[in-house]
Amino acid sequence: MPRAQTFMALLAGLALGGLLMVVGLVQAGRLAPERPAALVALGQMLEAEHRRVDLLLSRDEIPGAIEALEELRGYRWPSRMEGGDEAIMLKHDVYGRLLRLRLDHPDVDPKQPKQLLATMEEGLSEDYKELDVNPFTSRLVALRGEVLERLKQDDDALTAYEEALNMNRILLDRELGGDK
Amino acid sequence: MTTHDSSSGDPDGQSGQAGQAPDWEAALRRGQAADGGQGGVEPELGVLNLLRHAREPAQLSGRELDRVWADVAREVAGVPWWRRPWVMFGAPALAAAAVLAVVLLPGEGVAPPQDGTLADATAGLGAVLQQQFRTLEPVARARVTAAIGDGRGTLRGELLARVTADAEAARTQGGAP
Repeated sequence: MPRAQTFMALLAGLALGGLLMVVGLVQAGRLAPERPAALVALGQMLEAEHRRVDLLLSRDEIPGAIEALEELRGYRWPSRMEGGDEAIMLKHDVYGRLLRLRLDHPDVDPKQPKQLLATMEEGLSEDYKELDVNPFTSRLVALRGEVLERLKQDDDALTAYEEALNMNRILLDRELGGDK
Repeated sequence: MTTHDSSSGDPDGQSGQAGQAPDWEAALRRGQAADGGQGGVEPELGVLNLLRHAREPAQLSGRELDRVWADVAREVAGVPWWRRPWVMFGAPALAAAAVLAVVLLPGEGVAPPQDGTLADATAGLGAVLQQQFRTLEPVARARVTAAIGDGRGTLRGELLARVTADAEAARTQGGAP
């Protein structure tokens, strides 16, 4: 039954093509999060927390600001499938802000460089390279370079810096290309 | 062997061979030796040679004359200060010592070299990346905020749809609106 076989082949091709499209869109981060509520809840919660940290910093209450950001580490962060790329960017933003404050104020609740590295690895996770290139992830990668530099691991630090520079180069090209 | 012949054209007894002292010079030196080497015959010899040259000037070639005048000029002018031995040998040594001092001694505010070029490469990169983040942050944050806003809009639509459906269901079942 050649007509049936042709029809089946057409259906199989459509199904395969659709599957590949979905996988590709997920990889590109263009798909809406499965749970938009997760992203909204995360975003609204972080908006309030960031304002609290801003207020503490404006009053030079560095220990309070660091403590507020440290509390967020225990938050149940949504996965990339649940909250999309934006949820991971928000997580990188929080960890980046925390590490920046710790590196700038090492005498406040002192941490060893290895502990800072563990914090950074906790925030960055292994699949960060699958995200759409963004400044929050590149900043966290750059901060990894600073932590590695303090650990006297200059080779690894240079690798991290180069990776962050490449990400920023892509972002700058994207921004400048969009202005033309 | 030196010969002395007053009737020849060599009244001074110049030797026929170059480099040999004339008889009169030899006689002077014998006399000095007889006196036990006391005194000196050099001044007398200098005057005698001057008188001999004045009587019959020796013929010099152009090159020899230039050499003589150059020697005279050098002696008259003296050695310039920058060609004096202490300058020619001391200056290079002082320059080498100064270079070593500049290279080896760390100056104020200059850290001694650590691991060579790698430390230089990482130094300052952190600050550069931080500056780049400050430039890129506003636009990225606006996009994330927009994404959150879109999500909020989606939830709002879902909520309205749910409320509408519940209201419709309640109406069709005869319940209170």
